[in-house]
Amino acid sequence: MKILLAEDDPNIAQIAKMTLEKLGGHEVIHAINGEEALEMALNTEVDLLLLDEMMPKMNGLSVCQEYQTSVSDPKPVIFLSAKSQVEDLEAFLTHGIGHIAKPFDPGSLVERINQLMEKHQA
Amino acid sequence: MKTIQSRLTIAYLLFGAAIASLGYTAFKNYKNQSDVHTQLGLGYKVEENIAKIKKGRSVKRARRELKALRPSMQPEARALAVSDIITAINRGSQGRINKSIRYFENVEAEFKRVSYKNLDVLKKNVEYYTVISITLFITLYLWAFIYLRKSVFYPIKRISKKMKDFLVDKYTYHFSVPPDNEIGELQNSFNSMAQKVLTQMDELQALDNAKSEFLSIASHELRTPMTSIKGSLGLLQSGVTENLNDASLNLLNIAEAETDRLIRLINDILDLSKIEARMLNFDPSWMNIKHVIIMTLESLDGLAKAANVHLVKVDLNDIYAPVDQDRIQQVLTNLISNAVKYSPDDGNVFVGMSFTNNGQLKISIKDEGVGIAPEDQKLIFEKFRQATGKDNPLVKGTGLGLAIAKAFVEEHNGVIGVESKPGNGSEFYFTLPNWSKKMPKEDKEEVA
Repeated sequence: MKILLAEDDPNIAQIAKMTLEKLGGHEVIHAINGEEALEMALNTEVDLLLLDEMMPKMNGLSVCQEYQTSVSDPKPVIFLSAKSQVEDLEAFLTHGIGHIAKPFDPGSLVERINQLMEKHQA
Repeated sequence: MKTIQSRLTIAYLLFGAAIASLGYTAFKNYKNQSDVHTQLGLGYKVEENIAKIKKGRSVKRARRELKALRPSMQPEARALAVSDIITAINRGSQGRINKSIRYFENVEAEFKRVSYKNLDVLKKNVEYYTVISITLFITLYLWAFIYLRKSVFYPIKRISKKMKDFLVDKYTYHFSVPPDNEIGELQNSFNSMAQKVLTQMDELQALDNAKSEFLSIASHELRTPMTSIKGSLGLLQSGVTENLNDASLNLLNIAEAETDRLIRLINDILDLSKIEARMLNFDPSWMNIKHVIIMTLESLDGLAKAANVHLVKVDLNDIYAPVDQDRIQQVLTNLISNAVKYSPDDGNVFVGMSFTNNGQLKISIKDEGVGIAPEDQKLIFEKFRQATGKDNPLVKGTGLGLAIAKAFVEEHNGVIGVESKPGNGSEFYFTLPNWSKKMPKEDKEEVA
């Protein structure tokens, strides 16, 4: 799978990228903020968007909404977030196919993505 | 200040004085009327006796009666005329007797003429004063009724409505100009009170918002570095870099276990802060408690097996209660995982259901561990407290599990507690006051 990873924290981005590539065998392109993520999502063909919620310039939910209204056939979106309030989780489920809580375990990150994708395709 | 009390007092005093004096005048007139009647009556008796004297029959007796009547006669002229008759009879001169009788008859005729005229006046006076005092009394009564309605009862109703509106958050400041009396004072006091409460509510709201914001930032700021640390450790352990020797792996395991503990602590602190800030929505629905317990037991199966502890179900029945499923599962998880942690190797943890003396559903978790000293039994439900006596090896945990469980149980109006004797195991329990043997019709069971 080709995954667009939007994550502003360079350390987390590096770890997530390495996890997805080395453990999951995916191809990863990385955006460092919301605006860049939206631009890449609109111009590059990917299979999945993995968006951090709290990012400078544009947060994950806005990127997702903008992307889904601009593209005729939007790809699935999964949110990465340290937020765990009920309202946030509801918003993640409305706009995306799911949510992965930070901090995540590298092994379970790959597993959870596979689970959510299978559920989405079923 | 034109108070309602002073107005009523003045009205009652003025009207009262007027009614009293008019009533007294009416009474005085009535009294005079009856005096005149008495005097006329006396006159008739005198005339009867005079008739006897004229006929010359029982003159002595007639004279005695006249003597008896004389002192009561009014005015004085009539009494003197009667005295004249008596004196004439005493002298025994018929001419003089006749003369004195004629004189009396003249005086009495004049008296009757004046009296009947007076009686008419007196009668009219009695009627007149009585009617005026009754009218005044009715006026006072009506005025008091209308005045109280307008100045007391209606305003009180209006203020009372404002108070009820305030209770259901519909308060507005649109009050009429307060009247300059007790009601106005009440209205002003209520207004000031309401404004004070609203101001304080705004302040509390602001504080609450600040707390929410802090929690949100704290979650993010604490979890971001934890994400990097945990991710790095996980990747190293998974061997993506290069093969590590056993000693390095061992160190990585320690680092990862402690990282997990730190993450749990952060999560628990944030959860507890949210409970205390009432930021978690409490969402109860009717659930089969037996199913909730079994689901929790299944999720803890791995933990129990790893510790070689047996989870035993005791007397689990189909009992329904309105609960927030996530929270009750959290309570059960915290209590059962504690019991597993403190259990000896190959020990049992009994999870059962029973009813308290006052009819509450009681869910208990009993272990065969070392037990808890009486002095520790209350403390363990407080934040960051764990029983760590010398017989009780320090078990790694955040010390918040029971505090969270207590908060959740109390949200369900239940009670949480423990019974334990050191060396004899512990029985943790919590109660649910509201339960039923059947699922209430309007709620469908939500099975996760």
